[in-house]
Amino acid sequence: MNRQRNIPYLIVLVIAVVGVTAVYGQMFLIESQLRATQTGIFTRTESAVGRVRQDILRANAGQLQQYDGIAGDVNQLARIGAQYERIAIDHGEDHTVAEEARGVAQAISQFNQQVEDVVSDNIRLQNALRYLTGMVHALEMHGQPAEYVNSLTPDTRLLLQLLARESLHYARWPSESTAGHINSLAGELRSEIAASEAPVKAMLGSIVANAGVVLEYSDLISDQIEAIFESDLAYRVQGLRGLYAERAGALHERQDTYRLVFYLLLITLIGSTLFYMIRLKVIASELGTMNRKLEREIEENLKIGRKLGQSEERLSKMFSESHDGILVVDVAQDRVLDCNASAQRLFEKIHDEICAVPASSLFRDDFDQIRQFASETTRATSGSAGNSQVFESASLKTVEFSLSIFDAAHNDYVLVNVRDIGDRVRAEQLVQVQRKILEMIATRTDLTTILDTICNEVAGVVPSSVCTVMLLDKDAGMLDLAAGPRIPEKAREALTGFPAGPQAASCGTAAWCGEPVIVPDIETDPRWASYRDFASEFGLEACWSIPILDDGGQVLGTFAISRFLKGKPDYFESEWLGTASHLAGIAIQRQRVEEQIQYQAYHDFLTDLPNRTLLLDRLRHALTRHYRHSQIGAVLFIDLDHFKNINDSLGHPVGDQLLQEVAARLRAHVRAEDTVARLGGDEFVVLLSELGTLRDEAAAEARVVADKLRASISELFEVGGHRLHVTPSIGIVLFPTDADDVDEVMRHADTSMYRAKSQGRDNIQFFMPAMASAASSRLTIETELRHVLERNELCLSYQPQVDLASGNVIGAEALLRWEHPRRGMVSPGEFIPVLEATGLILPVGEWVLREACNQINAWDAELGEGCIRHLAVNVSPRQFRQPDFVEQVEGILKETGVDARRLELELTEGIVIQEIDDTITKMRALKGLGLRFSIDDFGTGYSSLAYLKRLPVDVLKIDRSFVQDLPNDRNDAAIVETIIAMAKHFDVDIIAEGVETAAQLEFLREQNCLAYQGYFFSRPVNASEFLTFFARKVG
Amino acid sequence: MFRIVTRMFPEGTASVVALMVALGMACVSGSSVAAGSAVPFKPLPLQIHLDQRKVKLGERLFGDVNLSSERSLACASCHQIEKGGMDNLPLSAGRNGELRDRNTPTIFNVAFNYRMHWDGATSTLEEGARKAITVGQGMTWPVLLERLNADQGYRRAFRDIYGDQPSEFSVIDALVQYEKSLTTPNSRFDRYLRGDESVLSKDELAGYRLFRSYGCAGCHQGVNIGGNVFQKFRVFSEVEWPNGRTGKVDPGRYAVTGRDRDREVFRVPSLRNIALTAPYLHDGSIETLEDTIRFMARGQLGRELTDQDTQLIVKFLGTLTGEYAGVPLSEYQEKSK
Repeated sequence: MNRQRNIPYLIVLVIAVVGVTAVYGQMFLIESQLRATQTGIFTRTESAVGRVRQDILRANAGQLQQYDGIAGDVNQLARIGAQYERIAIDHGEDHTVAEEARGVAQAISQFNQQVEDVVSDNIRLQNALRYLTGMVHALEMHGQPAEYVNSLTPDTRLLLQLLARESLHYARWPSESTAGHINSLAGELRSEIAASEAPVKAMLGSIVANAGVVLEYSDLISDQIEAIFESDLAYRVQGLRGLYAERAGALHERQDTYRLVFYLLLITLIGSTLFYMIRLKVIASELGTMNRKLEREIEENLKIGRKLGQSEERLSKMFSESHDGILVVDVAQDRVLDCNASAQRLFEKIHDEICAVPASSLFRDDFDQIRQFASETTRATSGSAGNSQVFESASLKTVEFSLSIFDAAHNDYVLVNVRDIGDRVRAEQLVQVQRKILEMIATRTDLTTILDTICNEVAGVVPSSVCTVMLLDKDAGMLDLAAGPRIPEKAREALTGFPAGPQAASCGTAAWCGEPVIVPDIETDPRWASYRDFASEFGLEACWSIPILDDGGQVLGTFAISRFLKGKPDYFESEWLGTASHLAGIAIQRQRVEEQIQYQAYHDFLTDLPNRTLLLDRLRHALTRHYRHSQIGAVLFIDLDHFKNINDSLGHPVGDQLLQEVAARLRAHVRAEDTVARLGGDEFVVLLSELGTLRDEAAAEARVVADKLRASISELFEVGGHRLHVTPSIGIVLFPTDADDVDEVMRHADTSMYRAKSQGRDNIQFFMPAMASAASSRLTIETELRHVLERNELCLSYQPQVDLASGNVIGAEALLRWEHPRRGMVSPGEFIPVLEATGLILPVGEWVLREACNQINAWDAELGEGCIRHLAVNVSPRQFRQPDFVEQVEGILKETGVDARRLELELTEGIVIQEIDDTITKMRALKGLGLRFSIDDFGTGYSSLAYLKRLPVDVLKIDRSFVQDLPNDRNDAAIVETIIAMAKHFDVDIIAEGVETAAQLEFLREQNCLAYQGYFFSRPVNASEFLTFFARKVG
Repeated sequence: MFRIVTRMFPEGTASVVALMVALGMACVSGSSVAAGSAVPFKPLPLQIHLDQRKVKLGERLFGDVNLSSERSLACASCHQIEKGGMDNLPLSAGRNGELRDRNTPTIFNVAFNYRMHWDGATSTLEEGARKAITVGQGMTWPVLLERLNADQGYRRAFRDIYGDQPSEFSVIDALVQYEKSLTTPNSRFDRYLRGDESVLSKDELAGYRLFRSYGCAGCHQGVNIGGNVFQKFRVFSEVEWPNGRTGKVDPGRYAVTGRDRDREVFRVPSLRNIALTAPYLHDGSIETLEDTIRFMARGQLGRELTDQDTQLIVKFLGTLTGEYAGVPLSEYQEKSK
């Protein structure tokens, strides 16, 4: 041995050192890339998108008043989009990630665009709706009359009203038929526009234009919102998140490879040094008697060795302290020549034992490979470190061998590096499981499956264990088992509703304090004191639990490994605990975000009730189900009367709060299986299912519920310091009997609700199938009523009024009837409110007055003058409020030549107390002409003696509702007595309405009531029949 | 207490007194509509904390013609602090004296805009300033930085504040800090929003109610009463508009997005200090606030306003004028003259 022969070793040494450094640098780089994959950008994207979606829904419901929030979120998303672009550039060589990131960036910019569009379009729609709503209110005199409304002809007013109403209707239920109706109405109005004067012209133009906006945007905006909710942005973000997880896995793999190369180089480094040292040792021990020259060489080499100084010492230290087992094997002799401490640990034998047994017995099956390696390498010129081979052992321990030949001269000597790769394999497993779970999350596998998989995977690598995931119910402070495959049924029960607390075993404690709770020995741990029976029943010895946290550090639940052996987790088991809880956390949060998005799309943000979309969906299912099972269900359409007034006068916060309270009351009065939904504004819908198989039975059931709801809503609300009294109008439709598709059900429900409203509000109306064919909606009535006068379809009928003492007919009340050419008699309850609402009551009222006067003349001609003393005619509020009402009556009297004393005007209490001064003026003027006045429905309103004194009233009519239960109802009896007494006191005549039985009549007679009318004597009859009655009684 | 009574003629139907919102409410219509969370406006913050050295430096840059290639224009040439943050011209002159296509928007309160420029091409002050220098003023960064470096005052200021010589970053930052200082808080309307209900006159309050009920506040809302949404110019397209000053149709946001639906779509401008920033619209084609309001009602809401309503809204808009440097912006202008 000489100096030259040492040079190659030195070169190898240097190369190895350089290599080790370079590889270490690479590993560091990968580490930093790995860190880059941990990013919060996905969560930030998702939460901004969630906020925007919620705001859009609010804006569409007319509840969002300003857009700073949306604009801010859109800007934030744009910035996030730029970050995704950055990611795409940074991952230039990784096409999948780059493309996916670019995809997300594009999806964001598309999303932003959609949001900006819908915000802009929605403003237009909301403005139009605001205007049209105001218009309807003005036209129907609910609010301040609009500027030019009063100068319009009734026809134009009706047209306007129809157009405005239909447009509002369309905004809620866009359909082609409504659109068609709107267009034809707009067409009609346009021709009126041409003929109008400037200010009216402008207003008509505005209505047509705004109705056009509603037509243009209602449907469009629904589509836009749908697109925003169906944007693939969320999926793309998830996809990228999954890719990131995959890349993290790949990086882990690369890191492992580098680690391997790193160790190999290290081995070479150590090996080449060792070889040098060991060879000297072998020569010395085997030959014993080396010649002097050799000894000198040895000495010289030893000197060189010393010159290597510290570096050599370090290498020898590496040999002895290396984590890898290193053995020098003489293949030919089947002997191990030397080994280090790690090798002894791996083989669980001391140095001499290893060197004493045959190497083949030590390596067993693997020895063949070592031998083969040695023989194949024989022909190789060099035996340096490059000539190594790695394989995994066939034995039970997961080890990895790397072999290298010492030098060409001694190719039987093989340096065997044995590495326990159990850790690496476990680490790989961890990464694989992580990837698998993340994939499941990304592909939206359901939560239970994911949690089960996590438990199974972890239980698979930790011997003698079962794993559980418990979810925390924050409100109850309880944990419930969410996943726990292989848990006995009996234990499951115990793990449902498991308390969280400071001494509540491992999981309860972990959930309570938010920290991992590692209990290595259940028997002695105080936290398990109360649960030892449970533990011993199932043989649990140790339990390691770790809280599952969300991004904000809030406890979602716990992940636990329970073991049938005592002990603490080793390094890897701790890793598994952490990873499993982290993954479970992602999965749980993912699901909750999705549930939340889902929930937002289907629920009303204000009241938390299902929204229109969900309602229609449930209704669709209900229709099919009911149809199949021959069951009948009902839809209740509930609208609060005059809700707008609350919003206008007390502000939206009060209105909103009221709506929430109403929602709560509605919910409290229906069964769990029924649906209470809010359509928007003050409109609610209750879907009642399975009310029976018979129509009547179902109707009765629905009625009971509707009554309950009405009563409950009518109770006083205390909102924001205000005491509010609200009444509902409820329309009921039975399905599938009244309608068998969703659209029809909703339309009919809407129609019935409007009928309820027109019946004076605070009312319940069933949809009437008989009406369905002729009048599909209230609008038909409105349209038809426009021509009712010219077509001569109205007539009057007369109910006789009888003197109680003599039994003579002394007068009559005229009642308005509409004989529809196709439907026959239309109920006054149906068309009079419409007349009233549309203003048609004015011409009709005038016609009634004239007709009544003509009738008086006709009777006089038949019976002789004065036989019928007077005829009473009802006057509507609008009619009475006309500025020229007095002149109108006077004109008609003059025109017909009827004595004013024969005409009696019936007013309601309501008319009288509204604008009392105007009332008094007009009544006095008319009284001056000689007319009689009666107060109708006396006793139902807020009658006060005070005004009775001031008014020139001749007759009080006792309302039928008091007469109905006479004489049995003592309250009613008392009221009637009082009214009669009061009438006497004020010297006013009195007449009872709705007398149907002899007993009622008798009671009234006893009370000295003067006159009555009702079915007991006669129903209302036409003019000629009336004569017969008169003749009968008089004759 | 009010109630609405519907009377049914025939005896067959009981008459019902429908009593709606009665008890306790006592017809509160007289009280304020401003209270509560549903108000679509927010007052400007009264104070903004900024590094005053940067603000000073930004102010100098803002007024420096060196920021334009021909040394003909400074930012302040168009955005004049004493003229409501703009120049009161229909269209401003470009760096070679040519007329630009659009009316200069006010620089006041830009920090509270979510979008910059008439077409909303940028959404941050930084981007906005960068675009103004490179596109509006025709500058390149090397030239600009060279000019600034040649000035000892700038060199010292940038070194003291940013620890280095002027750079693209520090120039933009200083300008932005200055822009952030240009706010006009404490307008009478803001004081009203903060709860001082007596500060608005009866007419102004009436104007405020009209502003909301007509739907003006549909677009002009938020902290800047505009500046956060886009809207089509003339939603009701049949309303005539004689293509104002430029004689051609401004494509608006179409120029940014290239989408047909964005033709003639503009950013809704802030209405703060609107009384001081005539003439109006993107091309300055309408001289007075009255005419602008009337035109907006016609084009955006499809409504024809009466003279009375128009006057009331004008009065309300007058309450949006805020304070700068501690005095009402209108007085500040007077003083500057």
